Amino acid sequence: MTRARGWALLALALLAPACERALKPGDPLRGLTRRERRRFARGKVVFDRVFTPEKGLGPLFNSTACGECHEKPTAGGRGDEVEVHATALKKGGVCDPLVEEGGFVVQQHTTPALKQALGIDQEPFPPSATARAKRTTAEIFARGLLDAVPESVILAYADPDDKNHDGISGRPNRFVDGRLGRFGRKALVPTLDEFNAGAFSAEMGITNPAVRAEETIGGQPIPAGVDPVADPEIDQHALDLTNAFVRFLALPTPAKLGREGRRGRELFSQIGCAACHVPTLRTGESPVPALRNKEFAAYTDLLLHDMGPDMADICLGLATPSEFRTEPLIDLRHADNYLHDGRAATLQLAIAAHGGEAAGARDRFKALPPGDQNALIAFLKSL
Amino acid sequence: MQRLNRTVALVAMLLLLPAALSAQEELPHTYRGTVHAVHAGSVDLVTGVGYALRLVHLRMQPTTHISGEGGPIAPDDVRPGDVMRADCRLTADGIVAERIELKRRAP
Repeated sequence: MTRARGWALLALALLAPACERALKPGDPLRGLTRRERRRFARGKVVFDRVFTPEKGLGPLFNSTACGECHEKPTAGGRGDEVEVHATALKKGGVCDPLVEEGGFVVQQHTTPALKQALGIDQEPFPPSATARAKRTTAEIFARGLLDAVPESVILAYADPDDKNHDGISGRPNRFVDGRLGRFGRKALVPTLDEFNAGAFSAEMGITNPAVRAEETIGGQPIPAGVDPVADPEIDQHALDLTNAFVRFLALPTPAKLGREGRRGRELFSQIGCAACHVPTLRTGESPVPALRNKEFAAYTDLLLHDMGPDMADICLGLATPSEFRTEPLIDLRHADNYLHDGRAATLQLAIAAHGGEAAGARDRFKALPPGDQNALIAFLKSL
Repeated sequence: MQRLNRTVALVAMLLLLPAALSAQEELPHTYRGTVHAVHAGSVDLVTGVGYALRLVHLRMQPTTHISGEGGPIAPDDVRPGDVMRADCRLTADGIVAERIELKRRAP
């Protein structure tokens, strides 16, 4: 080998990581094995499968396919569907998810058979509810990475009594069985697989090996003959493939930052956004090498924070009505509305709606000169 | 002959199925969840997977052992919002709790 060729090879080896193709929304993680990539591809087929009543859909449902809601800009992205949640805050601060009245997800559609039997177009709104919430469809990129973040990392960011006096007092939510939650707008659900299995049931009325029984119709049993497909309506294999698809969805590569974006990134930390939207998290051990010990741009601490009375809606688990999990800032460039209920049409309005623990950062953003505000927005739009 | 074998296999399966199911009914089962309501001799537990939450009705017997916070707990002292783990038996009369451990008290 000539010396020149040797230098060229060395330069190639050094430059190769910098030249890695950017990951687009919907791409699989880098470093998956051939088998994992195959499962990702097959899982996408289940994710996009459209269910009909003959295939188990309903009798109550919000959507006919995972991919019907998580669709923009591709499978796994956001969606324009808005669903309804309802719970009751009881005396003493106990949150009732209204399971006796059909659960906190109030499905917006019924199958023709259920409509014929009961004459309803949607699940009846639970009469005991003390609050109602709208929920937009979040993107689900990088959820395998979030799932692989050790609990100890999340708990290390918690400061429920604000002992460091920075005005930020994140605390973890807990599932009904006491485990630490991290998924969902109120961080109720502990693991990704459980979130997916529960979503099959709550969003599409598809029973599966993890959720074997249909939910009630507002607390009443399903009328005979309305849901003739035997439970479970999908098997473990289909559930596993769906889990593989969602777990292996990569974090889309942020756009390259120009000078304005780099200034915005500095301001993001300087004015305090990063206190809750923690820029990077690190995964721990994982049976999947592509998820193991990876640092990634999460922009969340997966904890609950008080967002003030204007944002408040339902309680859920330990989350009070005004507490929400810090939303991961992922693929913001493809979002056309913001916040848990889509109330903000622009990022500026989303920031302005932050209250409670985030009021300080909001006010510091407001006080920035217009050029710096634009820089921060440019940074967010690069994500 | 093949048809006869198939029929015999089918009949055997049908005969064995109820026995298998009844054996399954007696299997121990563990539930973890949040207490929704406490009644005399029973407790309703919110359990489930993800957003698919379900209510489980657990019967308690005089022999049901309830513990938590480092010692035994009286059935009357179980409150809505408590998080518990219940080791149960599935019986023909429903789910019977044999041992209950309170993991966390209601907020």
